[in-house]
Amino acid sequence: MGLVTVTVCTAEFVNLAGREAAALGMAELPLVVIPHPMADKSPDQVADIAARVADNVALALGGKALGVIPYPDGVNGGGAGIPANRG
Amino acid sequence: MELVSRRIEVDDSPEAVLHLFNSRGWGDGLPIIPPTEERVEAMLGGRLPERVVGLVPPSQAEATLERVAINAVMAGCRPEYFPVVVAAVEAALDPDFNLYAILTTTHPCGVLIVVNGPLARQLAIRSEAGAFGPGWPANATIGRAVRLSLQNIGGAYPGELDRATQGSPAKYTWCFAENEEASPWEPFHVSRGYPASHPTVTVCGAEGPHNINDHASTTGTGLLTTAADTMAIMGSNHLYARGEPMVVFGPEHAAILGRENWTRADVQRFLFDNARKPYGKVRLGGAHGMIALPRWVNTEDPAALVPMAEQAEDVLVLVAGGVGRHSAFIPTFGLTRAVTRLIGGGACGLDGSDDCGCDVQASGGGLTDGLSTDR
Repeated sequence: MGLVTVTVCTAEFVNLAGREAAALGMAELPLVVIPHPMADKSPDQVADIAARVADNVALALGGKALGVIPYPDGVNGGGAGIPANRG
Repeated sequence: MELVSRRIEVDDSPEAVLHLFNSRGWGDGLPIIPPTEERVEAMLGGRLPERVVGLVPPSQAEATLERVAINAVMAGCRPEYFPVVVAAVEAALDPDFNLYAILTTTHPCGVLIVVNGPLARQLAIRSEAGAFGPGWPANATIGRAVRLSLQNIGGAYPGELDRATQGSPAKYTWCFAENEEASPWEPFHVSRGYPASHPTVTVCGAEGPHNINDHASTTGTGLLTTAADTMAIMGSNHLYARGEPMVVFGPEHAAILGRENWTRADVQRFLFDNARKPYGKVRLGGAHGMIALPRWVNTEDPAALVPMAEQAEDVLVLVAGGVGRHSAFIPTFGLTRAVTRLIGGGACGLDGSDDCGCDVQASGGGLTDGLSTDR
């Protein structure tokens, strides 16, 4: 048995991650969503976000949640992956 | 020969065809050649349409020769270019190339295709003045065919699963041949282990070219100092991920190096040693901290110099262009390796030295879509 892991993904990249997981035969791969962007967050903000998704990580680790596990505040992106109007 | 792609009926006018392809997101915004069955079959030139080149991310859909041929028709390729397109797609699917990341990253990289060997001249793939474009049908359409193939088969459409923050002109088409005649060194593909007579493609996950303007230098050291300084920039992935930065010397610059007997290895070593940034600056921004620096960089010392590559051999050095005192630094995605493949080998199944002898047979009829995703 390998090392148990959880994929944590910002909202902007959830669709990409989900599509790739499905393409590789893992459509139900748990994806714990966090807000986007993260790069400019302070350590305190990162710690706050981590605390807010800790339960979701535990659910994923325990196999009790599959697929996209939304961020608690419900802001989960969605722009990516929606076909754009190209005229 | 039986083509299996979905047939689509559309009004037989360029505007209607373009509207269809634009509205489905199947192109790049520019006009396309309608991929009719007759044109696709001509592009295939008798090769088996069901032959699989590999799986294209992120959808992991099969790149069959049929699908690649459809995209090559759309891009405007002549059938004799097709083995080059197939070899480039095959090279891009090598795990070392890291195609999933290249197609989906926020970084502005396209798939650069460098062609070597006598076939480049036979196909009029431009290596001399203006080689990076525009104006050369082979360069323009081969690069575009590879881009369209990877986009339409793999499903990484711009703004959707292609997550490039700003995109790049390098994503439309990016192809040139090395100017082997103007090089003081063995051809680039020979340096990578191929016989000079063999045609090859090398793919790089590359940004567009950044100019190296040096009108003043009369010595190799002066020229290479300019080149190294052009490479050493805070905003480049190479400073953090290293990888394989490319420098393409214009013939007049290459002549300076040849006159002074600089070997390719000498040039690589100079650029590796001198294209560096002090750690005290690197730590202020860029992508600092995301990827470990080489262990030998002393991060206790703000003056310690951070390289743009892991080792001198990773700096890719070649020659292209015509008259003038310009060269180019071509940064890459960094987390990718250049991959070289023989043209006409692998899935294409033709001896690369052969002319496939196909004629373009344009005619009407239903269109084939060449796509793996239902859009």
